[in-house]
Amino acid sequence: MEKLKIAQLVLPWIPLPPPKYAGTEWVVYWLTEELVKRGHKVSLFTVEESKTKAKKEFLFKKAFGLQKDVMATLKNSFYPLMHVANCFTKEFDIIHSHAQFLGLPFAAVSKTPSIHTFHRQFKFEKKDDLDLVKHYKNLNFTSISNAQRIKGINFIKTVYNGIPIEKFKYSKTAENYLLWVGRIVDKKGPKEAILTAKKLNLALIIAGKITDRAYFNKRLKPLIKGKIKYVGELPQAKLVPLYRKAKALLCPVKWNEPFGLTAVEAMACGAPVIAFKNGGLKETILNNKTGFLIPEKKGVKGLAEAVKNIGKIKRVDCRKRVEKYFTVQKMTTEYEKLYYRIVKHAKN
Amino acid sequence: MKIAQIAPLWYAIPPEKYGGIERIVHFLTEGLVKKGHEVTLFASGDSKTKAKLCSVRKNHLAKDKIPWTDVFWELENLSFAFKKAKDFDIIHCHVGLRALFFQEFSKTPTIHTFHNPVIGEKRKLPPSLQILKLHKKTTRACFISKAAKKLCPIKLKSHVVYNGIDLEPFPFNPNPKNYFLWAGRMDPYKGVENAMKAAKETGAELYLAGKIDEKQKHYFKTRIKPNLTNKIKYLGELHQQELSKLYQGAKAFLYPIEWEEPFGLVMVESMACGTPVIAFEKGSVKELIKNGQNGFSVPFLNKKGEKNIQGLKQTMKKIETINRENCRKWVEDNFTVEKMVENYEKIYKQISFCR
Repeated sequence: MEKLKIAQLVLPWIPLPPPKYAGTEWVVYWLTEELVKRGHKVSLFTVEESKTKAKKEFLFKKAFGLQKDVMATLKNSFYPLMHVANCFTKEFDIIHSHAQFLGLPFAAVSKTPSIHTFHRQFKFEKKDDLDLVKHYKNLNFTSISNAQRIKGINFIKTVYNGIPIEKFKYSKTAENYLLWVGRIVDKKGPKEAILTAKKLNLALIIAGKITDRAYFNKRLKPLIKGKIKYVGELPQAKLVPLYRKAKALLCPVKWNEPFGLTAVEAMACGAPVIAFKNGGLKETILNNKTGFLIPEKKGVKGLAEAVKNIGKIKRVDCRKRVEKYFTVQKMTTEYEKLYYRIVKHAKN
Repeated sequence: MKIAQIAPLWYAIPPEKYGGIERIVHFLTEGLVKKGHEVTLFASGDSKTKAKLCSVRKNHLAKDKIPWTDVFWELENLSFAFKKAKDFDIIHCHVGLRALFFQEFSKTPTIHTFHNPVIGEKRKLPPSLQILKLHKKTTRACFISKAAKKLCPIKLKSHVVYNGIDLEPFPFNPNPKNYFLWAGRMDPYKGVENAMKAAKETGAELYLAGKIDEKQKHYFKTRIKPNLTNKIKYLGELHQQELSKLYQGAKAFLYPIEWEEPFGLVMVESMACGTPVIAFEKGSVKELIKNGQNGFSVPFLNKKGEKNIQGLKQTMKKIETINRENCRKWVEDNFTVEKMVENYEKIYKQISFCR
């Protein structure tokens, strides 16, 4: 097959590869590098400080930093939109936009066909915002899980996120601790993880960035003592050893988590995942085989019950599931097929 | 010609009350329709027009309490319009700088009227103008005065088209009463304090009219209210009709501004009623006032570098030397809706011809 001219567009908040933990940016980075490896002509729209084997396209030197309120940023600055518009005015066979909403108005007028992957949930604060997205329902959207989908949007396929599995080395054996990884906010369930560990008198390691400092200080800090440890935000290289030796990863997410990359990373290292039965986790975890999916209403009691049964899970099954479904190669192959399909369709 | 007008979504076209830009877009659109052009207006669904109306949303943003800074609706409006770019001979944008992105996606000639000042130092270009620099080559702009054009630090292909007003609500009155008038937003840079000072020192009667924004409440309370007297009165925020009556009765309209006013619609409205304008020579003032004929353009600073209140006072005393008919005639000849429509029409023809 003829190789393609592909643009990957990511918002200018974080440089690639991300210096620390950042799900979306890692996935885009891995996808980009793999496409280059496969011989495509890839342009990555990012900031100058990013490092990639693709052709780097940028208007700005430094990343702007993660935005708390993107809407507010856009009110005050034209820069993010300049970055996005710059991509859509150039010619490629296809543009793969990870720029969420910001890509849509430009994609609608661009000659270059595009696909749009949102790395967030399709749930909006106001009905008005949803109406706005539905204006663009005819553009090509992909979902990162079936759970992420909503009605009225043209989803052409679900492509699961993939990880570079060679970096997540499998461990047959585990030590006697539980692990929780993620951005420290209530909806991701760090508190439920702590209460589960306490109930069982097990060690728990918490790793992740505190984005809601008030919540952390008030709700978590008093609980972090004894066998409960907070280790801060870790880069991937330091996270992997923790995954490898974990008895299980706890993912008690209390929202429609669109994918849940940490669950897949843990499973790759052999760690089973115990999660509330929400969002993308229902698709990444195979219940009773690579972990347990606990209905949220069963709460901490349900999670603790599952930890007691963790011996029933074969760690190798966890690894195998990731090898089969959630590798960068698999993800890239799926997107590649889509690109060809859309390019062919656009030419006819 | 087939013409697209892209309006802001903040208010309906025409606006019920406020909305300077929306009102100009309304006049222009209807004027072009009247001249037989095929006009499509991209505006909120509750707009009323004889042109073809295309809307991405039913209500204007203010009605649904969506902040005007909500970028996504503006982008959607632009995206929607530019998707149809092929259908037009010309696209005229009134929404500001974000429209620049979209001209890159179409071959249809596009022009932007910058209703709000585009200001910045050339050497230290502000971040907000980097977008203009990026799209410099493809941008064709209209400024609403020569002064506004001059303030723009980036040299663009550009034109000047003055705003026009509908003369009907502003009838000519040859016989004024004995008061001066200041009207505008209650902002320090609109020169209200200078007007008060001049009035106080000459013992003249002065009426103030205008909106007090939430932000300016403190300013009003501390700087204006304490200096009101039985001769200097604040009349509140007035409807056009009431304001027109006030213009008509005024000996002169005082506009001692302290900023680079891009146009200053109130000056034109006042002159339409026959009332001369005394203003500080800033921004568009020199273009709008013919010194000694329809008012006085007073240098902002005196020889000592102080605010030239003395200059205001002197001209207030000789205001009777101005023939009120000159004021009216000046507006009729230069600042009517018809004139504005004609000027834009010329530019449209020129641009689409050069295509």
